[in-house]
Amino acid sequence: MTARRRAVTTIAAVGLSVALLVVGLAGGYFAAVTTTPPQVVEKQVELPTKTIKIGMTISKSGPFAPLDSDYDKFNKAWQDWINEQNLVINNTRVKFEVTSLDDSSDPGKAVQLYTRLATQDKVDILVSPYSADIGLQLIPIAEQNQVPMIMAEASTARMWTGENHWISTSMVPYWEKGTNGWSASYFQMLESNKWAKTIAFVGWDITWASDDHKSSVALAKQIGLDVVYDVLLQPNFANPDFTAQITTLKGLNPDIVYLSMFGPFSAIFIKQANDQGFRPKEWHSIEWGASFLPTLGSLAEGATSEIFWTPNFNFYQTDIFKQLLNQAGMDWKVWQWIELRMIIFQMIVQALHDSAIRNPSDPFSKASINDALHKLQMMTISGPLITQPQGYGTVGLVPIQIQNGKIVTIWPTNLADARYVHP
Amino acid sequence: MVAASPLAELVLNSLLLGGIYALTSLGFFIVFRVVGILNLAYGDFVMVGGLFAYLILTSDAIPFAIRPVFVILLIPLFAAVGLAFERILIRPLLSKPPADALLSSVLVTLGFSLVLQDSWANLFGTLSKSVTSESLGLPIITFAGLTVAFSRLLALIFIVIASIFLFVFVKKSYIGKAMRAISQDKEAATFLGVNLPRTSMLTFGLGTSLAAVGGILLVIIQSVAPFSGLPLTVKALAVIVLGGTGSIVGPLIGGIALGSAEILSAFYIDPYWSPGIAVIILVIVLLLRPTGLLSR
Amino acid sequence: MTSVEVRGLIGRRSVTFLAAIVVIILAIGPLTFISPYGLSVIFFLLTFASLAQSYDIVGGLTGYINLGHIAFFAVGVYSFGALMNAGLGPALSFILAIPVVALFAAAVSIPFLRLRGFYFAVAMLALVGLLDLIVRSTALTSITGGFSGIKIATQNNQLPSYYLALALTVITTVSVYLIRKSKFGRGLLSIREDEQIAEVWGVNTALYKRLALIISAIFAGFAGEVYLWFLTITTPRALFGLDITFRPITIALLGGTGSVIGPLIGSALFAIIDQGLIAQVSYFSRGVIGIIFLLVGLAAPGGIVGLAKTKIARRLVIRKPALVVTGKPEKS
Repeated sequence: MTARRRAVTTIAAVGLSVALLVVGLAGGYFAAVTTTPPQVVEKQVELPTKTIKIGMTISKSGPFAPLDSDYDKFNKAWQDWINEQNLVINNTRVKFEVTSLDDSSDPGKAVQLYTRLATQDKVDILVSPYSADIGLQLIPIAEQNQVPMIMAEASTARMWTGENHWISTSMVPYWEKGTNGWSASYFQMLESNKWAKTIAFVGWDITWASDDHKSSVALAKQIGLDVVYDVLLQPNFANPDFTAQITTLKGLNPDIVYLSMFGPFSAIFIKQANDQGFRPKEWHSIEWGASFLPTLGSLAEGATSEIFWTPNFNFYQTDIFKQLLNQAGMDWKVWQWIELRMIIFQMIVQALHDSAIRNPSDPFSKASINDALHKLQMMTISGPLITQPQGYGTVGLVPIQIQNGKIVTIWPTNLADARYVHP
Repeated sequence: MVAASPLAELVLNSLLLGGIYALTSLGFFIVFRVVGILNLAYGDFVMVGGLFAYLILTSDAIPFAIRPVFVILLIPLFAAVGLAFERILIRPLLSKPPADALLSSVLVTLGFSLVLQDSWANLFGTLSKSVTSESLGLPIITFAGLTVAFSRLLALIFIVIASIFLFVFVKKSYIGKAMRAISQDKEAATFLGVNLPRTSMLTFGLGTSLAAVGGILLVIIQSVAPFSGLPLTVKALAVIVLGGTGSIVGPLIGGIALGSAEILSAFYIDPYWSPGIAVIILVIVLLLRPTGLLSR
Repeated sequence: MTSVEVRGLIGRRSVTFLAAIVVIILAIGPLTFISPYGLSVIFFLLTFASLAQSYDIVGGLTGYINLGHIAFFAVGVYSFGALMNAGLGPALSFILAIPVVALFAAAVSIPFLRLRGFYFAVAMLALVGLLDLIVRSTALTSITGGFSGIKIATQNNQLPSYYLALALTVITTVSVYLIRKSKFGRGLLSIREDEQIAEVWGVNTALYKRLALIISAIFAGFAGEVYLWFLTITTPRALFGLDITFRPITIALLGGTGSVIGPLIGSALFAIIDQGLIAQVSYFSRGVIGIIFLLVGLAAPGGIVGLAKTKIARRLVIRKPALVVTGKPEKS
């Protein structure tokens, strides 16, 4: 073969290769452009969907209705939002379905409804109702049917003695007489702003109110306040009258009066005290919510209380929480504990993620979710939550004050948006 | 440091509280005594009266100065409601023997109470409603070291006047005599020409209008809420039992007795047990004078 | 109302037969087709049925309206709980709590049964409030658990409690039936008719009333024991709230006071509305119950049973007047 022929062969071979390459690329490109969409649709259909069912009751009537009757609106707003987020966990699309039934403030009805939610509707997670009185009776249902239940506002020492394995909560054990106490932050603030000498306590003998009362009496004494009055009354949801207590208080003239009652009834107390011509230097109530502000108007000025979250918090998803409240048409100043429900939803989502990591083969089983709920280390709208061995959490309260008709956070200094006003 | 002797203040407040209790029981008493019906929805009428007063007093659509007029208009409105209530729900029961009528009235009025409660909650929300004396410009009066809210004083004055007025009314007027006759013996009264249905209807109207007054003052002195009606009715039961069902002044006496028992025992004995002591006094009075403090 | 004896027309035997079938269905139900949810619903139905039934021993037969009947229920709950927590075990606790309730009823009856009618009703209602305070007082909190409620340590007693509740309802109903037929029952009915005349005729009204109250208390107390065993924990709010306090009388009135099966029907109706309607009208459930009360109160003064009797009597009167005259049951 001559050199010339060899050159021609080489050029032909290279040319053919390039041509093949170009054709191949063009063909491949053509194929990709025209056939990819069907391939993409196929991929979306392939992802299995899991619907996580969350069940609870709220009170649409009866004594507890003023405290939680509108919670179903928030539930719906969250459900709509979370489903729009198209959550994918372990290659499974996760949807949420929140069921809110009406217990009419009737414990017997609640027992039947939670049995239904656990055994018939087969929910994955239960959430307690607002009242600890009702909540206590529901724990056996969670335990027997092995369904994780998150205690919402309801919590008391009796629940966390170690015999219950399926319940958890975000809140600190606020009945304790130390740094976990309901008003621990408030008393810390009083210690730093030493102005008061005497304090009087009036409370209702009902779960939560009584817990807070006893814890705070101890805390007050710890910081050196003189407890001049310490009285627990029988709860009267109808038309309570505090004349006798107010008469005594007038004689004692304490600097601070600390009220452990549901918000609307603290408001009645303050109103009646005003009618009797008594006004301490500061009113404190463990809860202000519901109709406290409208009932009192300017009488509420300077009163203090506490809460788990205020709008100037900036830990995690505060904006989303505010958006959901808007959608539900709920005012956080009226439904004072709705932030606990947001935290619960955050807990559930986090638990699902954690469960998928720890237990990838069966992440959505109730046992796995329950385990994850007991091992949370996460950020909530109210700050860090680390589940304790007993099952309760680390979310605590901060004191607020009513200044110029507005609720402002006054402690601790890194979270406060106003200064504590006191004589 | 005490401004005035606590006893004086306690007595004054017992009278004031008694006034409120009496005010929210008088209408209930009249209906029970004359018509023989236990209106278990009575407390709900009081609460709804307060609700409407609240809506008027906090309405931006009505100028401040005219609001009291509308509030006063609630009284005849509720009288009309009482007339209708009797006509529709109670009249069918009256043709029965008294024992059966009483039992049926329990179901009917309790049922009506439940409907009222849920209707309110659905239409106006579940939160309690209250108005401050301040926002209405009602003063707080101080004299001789004692303090009285004008609203409470008004309640006491009203109930005293109402009791006296009704006392005279029942004795002197024709309708009053008719009411007395029916309360003593329905059949004899009918036989003697008393128009039972009409008198019954008027009694109910009077009862609910008194409930409205009670509600209007209650929303200022305490608060009203959709589900607080039945406990108030139960309190009215205690008041009329204490005061005795013999006289129209009974609720006033019973109210003051109950108010005093609660306040004095809370102050001098134990605040926790004060409701219990009131109950014990109720039971003792019942056992010693089964027809109440005022009976002959 | 028709005091004419229409009982014969309805056929006592057919009612008993029907009742027996219902009991058998309820007995084998949990083992076959009744779900845990259904079990809880029927348990509450049976509990309120026996509460209403035991209430009616005094309310329906003697005419004394015991608005504080729930007090006996609560004493049963707390006695059983205290005994269980003292380590006595279910069998002993169930048995020993009964004399506690009986003694309580006997003690209460001495002062309270001297009152009549309206005053008795109000006094018994006051007793409930007093009991609420006593149970929550600091002196007794170590036994009663105070406001946190009383708790027993056992678990998973739903099935045996269900059967106990079923047995209790049957026994209470049968007892009511037997009492009605007995001389004791006739004495009670005579007290309802006219107490003074009954006394004149030699009926020992004081003794009879007291016995009736104690018997009704024992049944209510036992119902309380079973209730605590089922739930393992309950609180003063659940026992002394106004809603639950009025439940025995409203259920008895709903079904028909003074009749044997009235309280049972009332409880069944209540359970159907309470649990059955939640899905449909959950935001007006209280109102719906109210409407049912209204309708029954207006249209059926003798309760559902009274309504049934009137309807049947009316139909038979129109069709076969002779039957009313002879009063013989017809085979239909």
